[in-house]
Amino acid sequence: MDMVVQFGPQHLALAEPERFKVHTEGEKVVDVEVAVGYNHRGIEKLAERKTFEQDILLVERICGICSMSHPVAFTQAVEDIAGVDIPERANYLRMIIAELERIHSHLLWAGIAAEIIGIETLFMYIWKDREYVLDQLEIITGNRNHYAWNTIGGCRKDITEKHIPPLLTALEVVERRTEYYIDAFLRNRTIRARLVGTGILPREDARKLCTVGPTARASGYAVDVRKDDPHLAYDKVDFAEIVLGEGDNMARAKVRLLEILESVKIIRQAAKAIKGLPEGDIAVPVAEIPPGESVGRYEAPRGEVFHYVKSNGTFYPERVKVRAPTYSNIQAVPTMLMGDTLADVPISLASIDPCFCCTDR
Amino acid sequence: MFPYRWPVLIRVSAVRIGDLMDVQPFISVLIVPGLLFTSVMAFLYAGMYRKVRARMQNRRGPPFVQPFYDFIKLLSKDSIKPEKSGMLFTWAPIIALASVLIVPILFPIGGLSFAGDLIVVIYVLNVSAIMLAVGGFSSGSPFGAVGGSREVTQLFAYELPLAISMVAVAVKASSFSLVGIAGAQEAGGMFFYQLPFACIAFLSIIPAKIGLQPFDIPEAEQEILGGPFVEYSGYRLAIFTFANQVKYFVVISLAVILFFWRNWWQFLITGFLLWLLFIFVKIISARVKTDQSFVFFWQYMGILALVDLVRVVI
Amino acid sequence: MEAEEFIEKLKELLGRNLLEYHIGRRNRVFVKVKNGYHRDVVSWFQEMQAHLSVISSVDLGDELELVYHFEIRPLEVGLKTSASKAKPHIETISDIYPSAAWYEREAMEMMGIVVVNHPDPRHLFLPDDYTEFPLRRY
Repeated sequence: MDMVVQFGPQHLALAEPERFKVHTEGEKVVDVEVAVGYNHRGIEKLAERKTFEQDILLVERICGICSMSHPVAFTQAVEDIAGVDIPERANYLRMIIAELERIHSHLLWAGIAAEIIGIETLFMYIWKDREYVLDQLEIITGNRNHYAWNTIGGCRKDITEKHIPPLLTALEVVERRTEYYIDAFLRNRTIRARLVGTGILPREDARKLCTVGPTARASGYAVDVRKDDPHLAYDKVDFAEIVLGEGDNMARAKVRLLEILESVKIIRQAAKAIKGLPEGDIAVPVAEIPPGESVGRYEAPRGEVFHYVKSNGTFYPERVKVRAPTYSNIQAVPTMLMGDTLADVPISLASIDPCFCCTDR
Repeated sequence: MFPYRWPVLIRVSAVRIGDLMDVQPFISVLIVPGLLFTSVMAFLYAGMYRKVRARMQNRRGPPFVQPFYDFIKLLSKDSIKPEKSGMLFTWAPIIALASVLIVPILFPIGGLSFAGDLIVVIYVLNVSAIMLAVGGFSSGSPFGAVGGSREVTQLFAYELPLAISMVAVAVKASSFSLVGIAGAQEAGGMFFYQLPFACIAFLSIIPAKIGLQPFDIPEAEQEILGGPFVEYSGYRLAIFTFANQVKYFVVISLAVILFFWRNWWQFLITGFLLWLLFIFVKIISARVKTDQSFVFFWQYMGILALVDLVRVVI
Repeated sequence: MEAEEFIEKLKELLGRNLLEYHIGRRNRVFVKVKNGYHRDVVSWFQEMQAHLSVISSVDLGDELELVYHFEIRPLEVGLKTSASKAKPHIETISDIYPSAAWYEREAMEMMGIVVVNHPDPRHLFLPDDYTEFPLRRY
């Protein structure tokens, strides 16, 4: 029975609207048509109308959970144009919040994946543990998402002595629970039946389509901006790049869960490092942005976030180009879905950790 | 008339009616174990399901009578009939409810019975499952059609171990009626340790029959937006949901009667315990795929039930 | 390879078609090549297993420019090529890098660049009947 099943724009498996027309023969997928653009808000055009400082708030609101990715990439590009080096403490501060965001984003994804394959209990447990991380973010920055942590030249607020102990306690809880979830994902028979061997993305396709982030790393294509293009303070801390070879949904789940443990390691090292740096030295004043252009790259939880900023010497940027990781990864979706059954489509779609509002801007 | 005359009047008429005809069938059909008892038990089972699930997930959960409130609320909502749907769109839930309400009347706790009513039970439960598929196909939506086809495939899959294990029990009890099977267990002990493989096979198809993980494939909310239920709303959805909730009670009670019967109050308690077991299994499982469930039921459970049938026949 | 070595190799490959280049901080390099010769450069990048990040489009006033952003570890290269606004034809690279197809679609609809030999020149983000070019600076 040949059918066209349309996933979206409204669908329970997708958090945001995009249209996937899946052509099936019986339950087997034979073709996928992807249509994007349901979330397009014209952010790039708007960015040319706002000043550089206003643009930090604008790009932060491209997405809710990638809300540290875009400001850091943008400010890095602008700081490159201005030729300033931000203080070392500011780098560590940005890195701590960035890794906290990575932890809560990966936990969010793990909960959603569990819910889509039907085991909603795991979804409830994981999101409860995510609350510990969000509480810490709220205590430190004042908000659970959209932290307003960055300015051109550094950070806006500091992490003081009294913030560190509750942060480390929360991280211990998160680490213990993540190890339990890794065990649950790897050993529960029904979860394995759904995730292993479905949504396979071979390494050659991942490389040819230039996918990024955990989607690429799970297929054996080792791209990680934290290692390739060391920014913030990633060259000063010790962590592993998780690269697996199978490229199926279970590999992508494993990569994300193991990355949570690496992020905990990074935050612990960063918290120790900022003890030795003078408090308060968190930003340098940047008077004006000379004409020029540069590129800011940042490893978001979903992959490489890319900002190209061109300045013409005025207060307003000449051109701001934003490329979110899902923009690259969504082109790998037809390859992943081909040949699988209809039941695998929602979980394969969710396994690239899609953020369609970032894609469409 | 004066109010104190009414009791006299009723008592007189009851005696009179009782002289004229047998009241017992009316009580069986309408009260116990008929419509009233089954409705109460269905809402109780559904309420237990939501509360236990919530508590195990670190939540508080709705009150136990929430399914009853939901039913009343759904009756008051607008029931939209899609343009592309047919007449069966309205009749599928009604037939599903009617068919599944027939089964409790045959229970050995004061119900009616006749020889061979086990076969009626099997067929009538199948009608209810097929109405789920029919409802899906008649909704005019591809998600409903996929859900309907999945339900038919799954029905085809679990029919084999279901039928074989029921026949094994019937042969062991030398009777094809529920009352006969209950009587055999009262005399000779519960069947679950005498026919362990058939018991395991039957218990394994229960999640598939009533729509719980790991085999709730046709109603997969997140994949096909609820499958057969996707276009239902208002009173049609109320009837469909109520039919499903009655099915929870009916299928669990069937399992108790076939394998765990001793007497009527122990029937109720074992029913609740068995239901708790299935809620627990649902909570810790993800949902498997159609081909995986097919292999599971046909190969593993079918052979298991066959073993017991052969044992019993020989 | 290092930035200077990269520029030398590029000069060897293109000769006078390499119009200008700029080496910035932190291994960011921008080169501009003449229209029509960017495909040779991209083929060379593909042999080096470069990673295509995105293709940006810029309005330079009387020219429209496409910037191809590649990562050739450890460099971050921006390959620019431009064409006049009157006849903004730039050839596609989607046969060398398949993921370029979507980026070129976005450049076509947002800036009005005409990408020659594109396999699927439909609108990507904008509605299908939209005729303006939003990112042009009028």
